[in-house]
Amino acid sequence: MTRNTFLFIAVALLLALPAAAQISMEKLQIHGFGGFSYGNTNNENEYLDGQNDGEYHFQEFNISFDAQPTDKLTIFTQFAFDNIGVEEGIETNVDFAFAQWQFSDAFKLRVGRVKQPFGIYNEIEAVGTLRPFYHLPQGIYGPEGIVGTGYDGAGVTGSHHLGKDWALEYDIYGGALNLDVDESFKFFLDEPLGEENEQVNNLIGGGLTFSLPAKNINFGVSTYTGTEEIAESVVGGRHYGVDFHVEYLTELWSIRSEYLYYDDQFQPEPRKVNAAYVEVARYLTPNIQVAGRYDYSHTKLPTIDTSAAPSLLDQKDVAVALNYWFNPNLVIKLNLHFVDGNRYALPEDLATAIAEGTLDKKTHLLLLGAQFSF
Amino acid sequence: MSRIIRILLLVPVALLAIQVLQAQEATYKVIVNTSNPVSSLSKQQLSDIFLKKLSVWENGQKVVPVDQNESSPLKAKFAKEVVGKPINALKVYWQQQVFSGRGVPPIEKGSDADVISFVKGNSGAVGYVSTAADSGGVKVVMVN
Repeated sequence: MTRNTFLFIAVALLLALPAAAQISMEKLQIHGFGGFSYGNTNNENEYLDGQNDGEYHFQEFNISFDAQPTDKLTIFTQFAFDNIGVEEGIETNVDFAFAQWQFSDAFKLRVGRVKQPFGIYNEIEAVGTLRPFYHLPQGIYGPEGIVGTGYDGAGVTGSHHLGKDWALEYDIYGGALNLDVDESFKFFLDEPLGEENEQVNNLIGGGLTFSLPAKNINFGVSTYTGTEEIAESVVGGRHYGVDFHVEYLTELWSIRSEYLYYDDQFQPEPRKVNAAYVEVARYLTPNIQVAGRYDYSHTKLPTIDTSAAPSLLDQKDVAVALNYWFNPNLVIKLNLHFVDGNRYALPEDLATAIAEGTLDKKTHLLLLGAQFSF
Repeated sequence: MSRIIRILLLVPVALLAIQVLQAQEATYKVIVNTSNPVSSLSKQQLSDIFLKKLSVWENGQKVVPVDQNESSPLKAKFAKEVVGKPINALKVYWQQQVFSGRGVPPIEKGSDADVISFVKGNSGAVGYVSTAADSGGVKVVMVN
């Protein structure tokens, strides 16, 4: 049975419950989120949703269903609708669709396609109302494909108090991980650029998050490893990622920081990535928020000659934001990005720009957008 | 202006003032079903219940928290005093839980009467209502 067939069956079972077992509205919750943006860069480089002559972008719209047929069983499903308004047509994806059986607060079993618990933002990566910037820090959550949208398999999760003041939340999971990868350094390999899907099998991952609620602090570590299959039964190499994160959240302030180390031992082109960011946001009034972020990424390709365009391996992004929050469910964001490096800020015709020596290493992006959730 | 007219003009002002004062001084009591053996809860336990980090009573029965909706002045006070989060921060917390697939917020009811009716009809339920609400048919528990 293919993965998509399994997911459709799981969703169909949810939607086709017999009348005798129908879920009342108190046991079914429907939520969603989405966003719109306009982005304009100052040169030929495209970055995030911006390009030189401006671009309007309808961010994917997502809708989620949470059903609780019994006290211990919960079914979560989330659908993503992308490319709304684009000529090629709407793309529909299943972000996650899994069943959770709660043995206790400290032990819950999840089976299906589950959001990969990694870092601060990965489980909520598309929800714009949960962060101060329109887009996530690209060094960790960008198109390099370091973290997956979801894993297909099984996992356990739970939480536990550690004494009077501390709390611990944990995750352990295994299965297969889907990665959407758009590697600009394929230029060095004479391979076509563009997003492609990679799958990491024999996946094992986990995370620990410690919280000190009285001090509004939490910190933790996430990690995963698995092997990439490049053809049937042919293993291309092992992937390994580890992330350290810390958050300080109060009514006025949100301060977040992460550091990632990633090792892709895919042969014959292994790569290593170091990425980190610091993000600080503060409410000046109940509705107006300002924020700043420094986002850094460096990729090493030990077996490839990258002298033709070393800026494709690095990126530093200093960003500022001015946001107006109508309430926690609707926000308008004005973001400015000052980018040094071409890891993610690239012209459409990269090869020509490099050959002619016109690749601009510095890019400025103005982005105005609205994000909502319900 | 006649005395009667002056009195009549003062009435709506007085009523408004009373409402404002009531909102500021909204107090609540925590209630459970009469079959629930619990007689007191700590603030930590109550916070865990309404953040859905505690899902089972000591007798093994599932906890069913029932919240007031946002228009209730009690909700803001309860959220701040017990859960330790202002309303907006609580909304953000539940957004994170919902969209990461980790949980959904408690059921919400629009009035004290609806909360009391729900708690009466659900043996594992726990909710909060205004101190002045008629809590006949449910049990009031102490919060430590």
